[in-house]
Amino acid sequence: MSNTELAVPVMPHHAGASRFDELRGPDGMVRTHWRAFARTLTQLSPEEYERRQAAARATVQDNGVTYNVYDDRGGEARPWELDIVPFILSSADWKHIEAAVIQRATLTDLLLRDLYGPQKLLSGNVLPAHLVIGHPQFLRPLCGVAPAGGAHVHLYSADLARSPDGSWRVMASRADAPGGLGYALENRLVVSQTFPENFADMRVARLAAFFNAYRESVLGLGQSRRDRAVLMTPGPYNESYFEHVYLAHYLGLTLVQGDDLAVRGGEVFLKTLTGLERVSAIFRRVDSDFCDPLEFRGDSALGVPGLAEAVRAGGVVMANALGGGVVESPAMDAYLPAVCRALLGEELKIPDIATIWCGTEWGRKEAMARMNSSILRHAFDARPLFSRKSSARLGADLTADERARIESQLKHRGETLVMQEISPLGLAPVFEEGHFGARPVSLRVFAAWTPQGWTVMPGGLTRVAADDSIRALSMQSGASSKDAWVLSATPVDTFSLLTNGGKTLEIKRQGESAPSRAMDNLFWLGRYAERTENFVRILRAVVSRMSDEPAAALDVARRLLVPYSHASDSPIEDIADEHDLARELQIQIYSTRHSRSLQQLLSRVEQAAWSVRDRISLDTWRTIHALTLIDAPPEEDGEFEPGVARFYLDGLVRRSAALAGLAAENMTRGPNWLFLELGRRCERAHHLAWLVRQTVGQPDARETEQMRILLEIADSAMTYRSRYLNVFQLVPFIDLLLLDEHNPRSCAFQLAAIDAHLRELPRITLAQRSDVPRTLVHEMRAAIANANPARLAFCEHGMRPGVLELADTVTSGTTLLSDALAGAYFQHASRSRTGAAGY
Amino acid sequence: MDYFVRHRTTYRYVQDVTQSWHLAHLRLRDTQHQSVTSSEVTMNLEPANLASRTDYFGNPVEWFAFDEPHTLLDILAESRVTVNRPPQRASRESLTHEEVRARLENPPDAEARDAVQYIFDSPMTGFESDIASYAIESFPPRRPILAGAAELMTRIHRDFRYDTTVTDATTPVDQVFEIRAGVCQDLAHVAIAAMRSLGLPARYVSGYLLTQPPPGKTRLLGADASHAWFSVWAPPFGWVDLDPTNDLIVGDAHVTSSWGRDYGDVAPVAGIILGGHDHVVDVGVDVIPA
Repeated sequence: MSNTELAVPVMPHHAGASRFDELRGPDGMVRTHWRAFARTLTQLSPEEYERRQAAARATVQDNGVTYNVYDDRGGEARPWELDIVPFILSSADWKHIEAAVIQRATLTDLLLRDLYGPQKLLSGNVLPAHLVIGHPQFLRPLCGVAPAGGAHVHLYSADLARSPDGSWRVMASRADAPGGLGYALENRLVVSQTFPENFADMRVARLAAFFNAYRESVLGLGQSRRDRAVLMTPGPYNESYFEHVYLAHYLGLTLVQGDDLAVRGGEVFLKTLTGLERVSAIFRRVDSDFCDPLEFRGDSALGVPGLAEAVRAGGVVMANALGGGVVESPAMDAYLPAVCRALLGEELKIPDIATIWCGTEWGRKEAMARMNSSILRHAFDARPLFSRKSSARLGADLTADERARIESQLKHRGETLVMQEISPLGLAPVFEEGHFGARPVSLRVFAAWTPQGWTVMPGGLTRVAADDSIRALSMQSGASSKDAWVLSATPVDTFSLLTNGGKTLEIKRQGESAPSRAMDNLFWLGRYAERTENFVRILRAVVSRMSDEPAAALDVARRLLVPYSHASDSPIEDIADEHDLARELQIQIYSTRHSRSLQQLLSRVEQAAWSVRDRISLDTWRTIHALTLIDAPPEEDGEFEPGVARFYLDGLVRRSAALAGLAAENMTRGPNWLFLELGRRCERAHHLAWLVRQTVGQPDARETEQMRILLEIADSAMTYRSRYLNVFQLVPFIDLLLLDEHNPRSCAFQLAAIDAHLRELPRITLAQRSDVPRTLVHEMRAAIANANPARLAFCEHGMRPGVLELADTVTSGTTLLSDALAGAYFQHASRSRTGAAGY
Repeated sequence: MDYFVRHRTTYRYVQDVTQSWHLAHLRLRDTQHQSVTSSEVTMNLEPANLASRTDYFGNPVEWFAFDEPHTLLDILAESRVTVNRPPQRASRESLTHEEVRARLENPPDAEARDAVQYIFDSPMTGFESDIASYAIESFPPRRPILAGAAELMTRIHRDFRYDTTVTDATTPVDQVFEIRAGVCQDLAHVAIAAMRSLGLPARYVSGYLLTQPPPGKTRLLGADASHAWFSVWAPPFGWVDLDPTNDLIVGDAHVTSSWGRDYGDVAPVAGIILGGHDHVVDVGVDVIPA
């Protein structure tokens, strides 16, 4: 085949410089290591290519791979962007990168050891003290503290960029809490499935051995392998929460937030349902300064009070050790070559981008001279260039005023500025909008510490710039990503983390521990999911009657949409006609702003599920995610269309059923299932009692019709008809919905199930042994067992006191039960700071 | 001068605090001009863990935690100290601010290197407002740094109102600068931010001030306050303390407890509590000539 078949357009050049072309050599020929893949690309039709890209995108969306983007309006999760053309690296290129990354990781660990230890680099004038003791991430409370296990850095990352001459430069490196591993792994999974033949034939190096080495090395440092190892995340609102869930799962770690951990006597414990479990290692994805609100940032809600003390006591292995952020500054880049010579006696194999620190006379002169062709940024600003809140400015873009301010800052506080030269990034092939193009890329590579030395993940996270400007490489500003394929000269190691290297596993009948916060979230996931189904069923009953039985629709709406009735100006009881009702329904169903709308409820379901994403299956997650999807949502103030709404609500009923079915059939009967189920049962019992109260508790001439509709809402119409045909009477009706333990849609059934589940719960703490939840359930069950049908039917002044009393017993009982469970099992004491102003 | 210093901090919680962690800078440090005979911290409860250490800045610090429910925490610090400051310096004999900048750029010794950390913004002294324009009036070219700092102190004393009702322990410098009012902590922070806005080294000092009783009256116990001021690095004199709240160069009436980059480094007692709902703090300080 011809090497010119693949048309890669030449990108407009940045600042007059040329760019490195990853695909072709200077002679215009496709580079050797790209040939096999280029052949595939030329053989695929654009339609087939489009199909594969779409399939990959669907997988990414289904898996819930997101990168949360913060902006001033709050946050928004958006799908991870993946271009399926891999970034291919030859084994020669890789050898060089691997050696360079090992050198830098080694250097970074030694550097931190010195900065938190003897500080010889400062007293020996190798490194200006400014860069260390002036850095906000230099954590003074940890000076003189050797990390448990010895290593400061267990995971290191470097962002590489290819210069026009083909050499590599490091744009940024991370030693505190490097991110991106999980996304790299997900990209690999998707892309290897997209091009299975190439992946197998081209000897692409595998990633699993790297993850295994990373995990085993950290675990090996813990005092006992029987203790817990956890992955600590800032939580579901963090931009990279997906990857934390994903990594925790892949590495077999318990995913925790700061609140889940407690420090006692210099050791760290996980708060579980059954008490405290010792934690020996923390894989940390929370920035160091957020990790202990007592000794670092007091405003951090993400950390664990006392964690710094536990670290000083050597009670826990932190991966990475706290305090690594101090070496991540751009100012450090200017001195890394000198540090490398001092600590390793070597030159850097891959240097950083040209950086000048303005804390010296020479640096300020250079900065003034080169300002127009460079970037200026804060000396300690390690944020990705031009990401949100980045301090970086292009010298050429400065206004006269800004320039004057910068010059004044250079004069008085030059040590707070650096100047960096950015050369244009190399171009790699991408597929976009139906044809091939080329876009600037950078490559994040990872190294893990092992007792035998550093190991580098053969691959990485390739990031694709959104456009040709140098501002465009921040993930937050809309860039995409790629898998990185490292071609191996020899057959690849197909070790898989999932086979445990042939070791025999011990049989376990219990999964991992149950942190109380996660159980709390599962309980509420169960409640919200059930509440959604109930709400949808009521809405559907109303909507489906609007054209044929408008009077019945109005009556049901007035009685049953009460808890959701704040959508319009007037209470729902006052709704006069179908027109008002239609307006009300439009808001209740579609509004995203109104706090009690269906959409709000659905997003609460999704949020609860997202916060326990590590505890529910992919299929369950997909089903929940599907609940929140709505094609072309109608305008809130638009015309209400019953047919469209009916179709939408039908779909939701089916998806809700699928969700309940997945939980019933596919979840192991452990604590996760138990709390999800308890939540669902509590909510349903409460709801059924309330339905009955709102209708036959306060009967009128429409009672027969109400019973019919209620049976439909409670999904018990079939059962009723099979027993009593079409004769609607109060006592059989009450019996079926409240008293009959055989009907899975009755109150009695829910309470019996709750009673059984409560027996499975641990009873260890004092609050758990108090048995309030079981007492409450027994009282409710007794009320139901002793219900007297004749008394229930008795009616006076338009009320049925017996029905009202029984329903109220259940609604208030389930509310108390929910609180009692929270008190005994979830117990989040609120955390606050105490000051001591004494003036 | 010899002093006996008693500093009592009492927390009363509305509900049980189930667990709590604290960091206290309550003991006094030795300095070039102050020697501490004894300094002890006692509490009404036995902590589950207690560690006494010296922090990065050389201040004594106590870390302690409780893991039994409690509604009252009473912390008492008692110290005996001798303060003997040198006579006031001739401020014109200090280096000029340009010379100090140059010395910090290439620190010739450990003292200069240590001073470097005090030219950078710290968590509580970061600012956006144009404090530099305010500061630079006191630092015309070639002015000795101590002369400039003393004038800055006098201007802050003149321009800012002492007011205990407008700020709290976490009020940002920008806000104090805007409302031109605050307590000693705030005035010290403004002075520090002003110095640092010109790249000059300033640090925060936490301590106590002997309040002179009016003639003929006896001293009121508890009337003396826990106090704060700032310090500038003014070679060849080293660090010189200035009190903007009282517009004076610090003498024998000031007892030093701790110093750091700002209040956050040396808060007398900081804590994180679980539960407790709401709390009140009472602080009483006595500085008695011994």
